[in-house]
Amino acid sequence: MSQQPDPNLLVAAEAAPSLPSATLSLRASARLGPVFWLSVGWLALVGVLAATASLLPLRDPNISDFSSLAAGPSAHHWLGTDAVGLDLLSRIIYGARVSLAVGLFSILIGLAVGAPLGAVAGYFRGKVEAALMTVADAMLSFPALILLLFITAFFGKTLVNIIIAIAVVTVPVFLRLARANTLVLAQREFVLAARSTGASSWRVLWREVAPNILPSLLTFGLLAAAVAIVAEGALSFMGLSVPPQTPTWGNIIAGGRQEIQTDPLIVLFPSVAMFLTVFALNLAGERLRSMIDARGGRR
Amino acid sequence: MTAQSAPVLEMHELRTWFATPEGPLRAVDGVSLGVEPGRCLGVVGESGSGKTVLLRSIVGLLPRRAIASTGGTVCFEGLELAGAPPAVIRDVRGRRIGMVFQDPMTSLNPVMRVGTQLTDGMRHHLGVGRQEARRRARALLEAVGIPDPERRLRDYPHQLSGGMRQRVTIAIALACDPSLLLADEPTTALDVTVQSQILRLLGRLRRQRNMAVILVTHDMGVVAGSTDDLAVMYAGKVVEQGPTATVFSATRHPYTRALLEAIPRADARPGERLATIPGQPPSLVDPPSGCRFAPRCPRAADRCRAEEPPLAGADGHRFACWFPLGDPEPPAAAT
Amino acid sequence: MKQVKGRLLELAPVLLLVSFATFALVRVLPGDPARAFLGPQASQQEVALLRHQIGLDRPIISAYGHWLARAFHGDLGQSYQTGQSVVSALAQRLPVSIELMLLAQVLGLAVAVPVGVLTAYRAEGLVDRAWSGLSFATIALPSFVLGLLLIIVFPVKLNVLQISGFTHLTHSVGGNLESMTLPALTLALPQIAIYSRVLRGDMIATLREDHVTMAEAKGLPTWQILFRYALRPSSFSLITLAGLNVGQLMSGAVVVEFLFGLPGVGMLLVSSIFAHDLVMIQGVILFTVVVYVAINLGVDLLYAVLDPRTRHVAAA
Repeated sequence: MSQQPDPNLLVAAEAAPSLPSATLSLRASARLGPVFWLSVGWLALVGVLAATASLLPLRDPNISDFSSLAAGPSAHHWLGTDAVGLDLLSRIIYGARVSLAVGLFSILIGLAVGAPLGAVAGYFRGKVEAALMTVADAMLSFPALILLLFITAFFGKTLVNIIIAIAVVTVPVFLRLARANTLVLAQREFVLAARSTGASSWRVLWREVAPNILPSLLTFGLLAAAVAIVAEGALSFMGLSVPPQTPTWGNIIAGGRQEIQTDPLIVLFPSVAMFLTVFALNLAGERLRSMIDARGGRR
Repeated sequence: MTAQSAPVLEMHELRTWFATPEGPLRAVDGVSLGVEPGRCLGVVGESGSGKTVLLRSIVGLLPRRAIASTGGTVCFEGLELAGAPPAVIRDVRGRRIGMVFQDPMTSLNPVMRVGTQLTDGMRHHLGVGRQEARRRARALLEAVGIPDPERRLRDYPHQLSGGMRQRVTIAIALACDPSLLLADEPTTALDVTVQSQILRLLGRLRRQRNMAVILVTHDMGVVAGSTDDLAVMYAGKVVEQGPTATVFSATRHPYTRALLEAIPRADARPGERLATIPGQPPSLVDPPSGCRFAPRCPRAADRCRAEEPPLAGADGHRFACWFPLGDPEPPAAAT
Repeated sequence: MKQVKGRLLELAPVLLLVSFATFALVRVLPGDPARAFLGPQASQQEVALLRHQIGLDRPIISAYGHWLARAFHGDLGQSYQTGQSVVSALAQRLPVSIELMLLAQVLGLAVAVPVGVLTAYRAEGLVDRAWSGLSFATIALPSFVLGLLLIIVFPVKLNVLQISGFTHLTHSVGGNLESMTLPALTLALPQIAIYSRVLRGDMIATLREDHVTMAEAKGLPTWQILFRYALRPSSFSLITLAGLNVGQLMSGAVVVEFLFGLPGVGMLLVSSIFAHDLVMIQGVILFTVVVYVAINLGVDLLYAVLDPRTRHVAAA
């Protein structure tokens, strides 16, 4: 099972199918283009709002305004309120904190663990590689979303647990990717040259291999972050992420579901925030990937 | 020479230019050729000379979006093919004009049985039934020299050898009994012994069926034994044409002679180097003014670089050269 | 069938590892799972009995061997919440998940194949570009968001179909289809996006091949060239992808079943996780993993059917 183009590599394909490489790649060109910068702009906006949420003149996301329950947008509540009078704008901005934290940290941890292992597997080959790949395959055939549900259900619904759980799931993905890149790289002249000068293997890995595989891993990280955000959203939606006092996009949507027949906006606003964020990550990631591919082709 | 029979196909000033970012690429730039029933016209030239594009232009087998402009006429059995609606050309393709391609390894569909690939043209064009198509398919495989046709019909292409596959593609091309066969380097991808078998097969089928053949190749050796007429193409144009024997024995164009000198000969001493043509074929986006061969021609003079020579001559032997071979050398200022 | 044997040998360690991990999950849980399930009121005896039932009183390897041996005989134990056997619970829920999977795949492929072929044939054209953008947006929609959007559009605004709930097929075919439409659509839409793009990519490559030119030279109509000549050699990635999805959906579309209240395998898993029903969880996960691996193997074998070249290599 080594060459399957697995769209389900990460978390639950049913929650967010990621694309096999090179299918949706936008046209490779030297420029990044306006779509890329719009995506980055949106991500930056969400990031800044989330980071400075407590400094912004927002209503407390957990204090109800009983004079307006499930109300539409107004001057007081720009995006309206939910069924118990909580301000939606405030909850969505606070919710971004959870989503972004999950997207950022789970992927960084997954990368930090998976990439070195993959590079080692691809560089040294042999038994080390075989063992690592068997473990990675086993992890990949284990249904990811189920693992997440399990961990949060039994170990406690905390942000740290969720981040670690998602990181665990992404480790084999980064491992495979790093290995594949290293395999190619290990045959390149400059790596062969470094080896022939008698540099130690670890030095070659750190000085020659690592800097060259990192760009494509980080780019893939953007796509993986999108999947992580969706996974956390799904857990939240099913009530298996952080407790509801901490707003998340998933639990705002879950809360709004009760009122969907009368007030679909409660579901719609956080959904749009989530969609745009995932979309922006996908677009930016695909854009960078197609550029890296184009550059790789010319080398 | 059966001069009285009307040509099956007659091209006049055929032109196919491709769109490139740098401007139109003149792949075929004003070619006039014809071929009569039962005869074989060879078209030779280096790769990139436009011979394959010429062949595909006849039946409109070029990616439509790549084409910048086309021109000229292609008259096939009284039917004008150039600029004809796709449905008209599609009806001619496979039915009245068959095609054989260069690489039999890639020109058969890998996941379909030989029988299906052989019969579906007949069934589509001639409306014959399943049984009848099978029967004809067996006869065709026998005609192209494939033993045990019944079994071969059930085979997939990968179960056949290269020579066998090329016989199959020939059988496919002949399925609807066409009056013209277009063969694009049909022997290039094959072993030398298989090459001559396939060429003999094509010759035999041509005579049996009184079919016209256009054989495109880069190999003068292939042309020598198997064609009646010959056209030499260089940079999108015909530079010399005529009966094959005449072109070989009384070569007029320096490019034709260069091609002839590049044929490996049996009497060559071991280690003797083949003559090669110095330089590169010119850019077809921005071709040189004057004769397109002039930059590589040992006989080129100022006139060659300034004025384009017309394709002219007598007795069906025509050539485009200001200072053809057999005439006196051009003035000393040449080089 | 050398190929099958080779693949099985390759898969065996993966299966062993995963089944062991599944089993060991229980052991790494904090505290005493038996006590956690039975609650603080339960007597020491009851806890001890439960610990014995789930093998917590034995060393892990021996307990695992015991569990695996019983699993081979089709006995995955009993839920200690409801007393129902895991196998009968699965048998009860599986038809729902399979129906959902089939509907989603049929819907997905029925749209994706023609669209993929068309966009490949007219690559870079207007339809292709528009479809590319639309696909890209669709896959950025999480399934629960997409499902809710569909609910807003159909039951809420247009007043057709139901928001959630399930009607059994034996009860009413029409009602069953009505309850399955939105869930199937929720699963199918992103699949359509992915399938059509994957097929388009492979198809563009196939259309450049010599045998397609050869088919054109035969004067066959365009639809025949596209669907009879070019589709099959272009469908390998698509088949792989669809196969993997089938494997995944057999064991339940967790989020979608949860959202629409469908009593499938995914729902079974979620409810047993909520109830901390360890025996049930272990059983369902083992089933899921085995199905996934088996479908993987099935996809490999399907290649042999689709591609005669691999078939004969295998026979040799």
